Amino acid sequence: MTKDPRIENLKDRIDQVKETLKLQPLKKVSSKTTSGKFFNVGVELTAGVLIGVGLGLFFDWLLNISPWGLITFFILGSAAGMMNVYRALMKEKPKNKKKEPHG
Amino acid sequence: MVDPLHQFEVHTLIPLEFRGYDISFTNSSLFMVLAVFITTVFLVGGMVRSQLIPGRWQAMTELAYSFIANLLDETVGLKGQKYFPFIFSIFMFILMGNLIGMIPYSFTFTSHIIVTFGLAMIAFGIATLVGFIRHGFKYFALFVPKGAPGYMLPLIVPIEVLSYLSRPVSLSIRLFANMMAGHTMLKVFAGFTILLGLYGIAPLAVIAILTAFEILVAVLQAYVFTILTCIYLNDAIELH
Repeated sequence: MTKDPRIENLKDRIDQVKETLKLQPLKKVSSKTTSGKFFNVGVELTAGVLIGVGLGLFFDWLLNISPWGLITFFILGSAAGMMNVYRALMKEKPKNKKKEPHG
Repeated sequence: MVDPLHQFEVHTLIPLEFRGYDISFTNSSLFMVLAVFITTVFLVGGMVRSQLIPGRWQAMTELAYSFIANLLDETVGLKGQKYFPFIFSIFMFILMGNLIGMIPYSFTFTSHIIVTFGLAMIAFGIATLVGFIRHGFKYFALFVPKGAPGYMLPLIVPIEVLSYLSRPVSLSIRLFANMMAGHTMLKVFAGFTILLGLYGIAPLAVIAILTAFEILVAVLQAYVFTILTCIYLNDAIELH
């Protein structure tokens, strides 16, 4: 392919636009109303507990270890739910906190 | 008073059975087909006489397209472009379902948790599949947070796995709860309007405001579902 100066110029301009696009901050996720935020907290917590109880009952049934599966996975599921809540709320913080290690 | 939950009842329109399973065509199925049909008409109709300078219809179609294209670009980046058809389909299907549900006497299929859970499982399944195809067994590294001390791993890894598994659950609950709560609330206030007679004008005013709010919620929840799908896809692709 021949090197057309106009093509090269266009490439440079495309790169420039790409750079400026990268610099723009990401748009905020989900609803930013207060009620929306706290609704999310409830959903995340419920989801964690539900999946924990579900898996616990499943393992109880599968391995016949009732009630230990339910107890263990209920606790783990609650912990997962709380971690979800923590993450959901930490996302709302300003971007300069982003350097923190994930989790 | 009218039962505010009556609107969520699923009833069979065309009874069908397959090897003992009830696969009847219900009002829920009817509105899903309707959502797909309207989406197809909206998109194909807008682009069938495509011009360089778009008319109103074509502009709407292009707006919907570029909205999701930008969303995918912002959350996933270039690597996510090939998943655009999937993300766009999920967005349009949920958006149409929510908006059709706002028409009186229609049925909101997104107010049933089995529907939203099905959609969430598709999104979650595809994201997980993409992760395993791209990274193989290294994908399990997602469950090991960076900088965690080794002796904490037996506790952290199960919690991370459960947290990962709870994603489709929270995704489906969010959409279903918003739609169901909104529609129930509208019906309850409508019941007040009937009961109060002349004074019913006060709850009627509330309904007017709530209807506008519900349309906002309908669009917003479709957007939230889509952006979370994008974020899960990004996790699967980037693996950080």
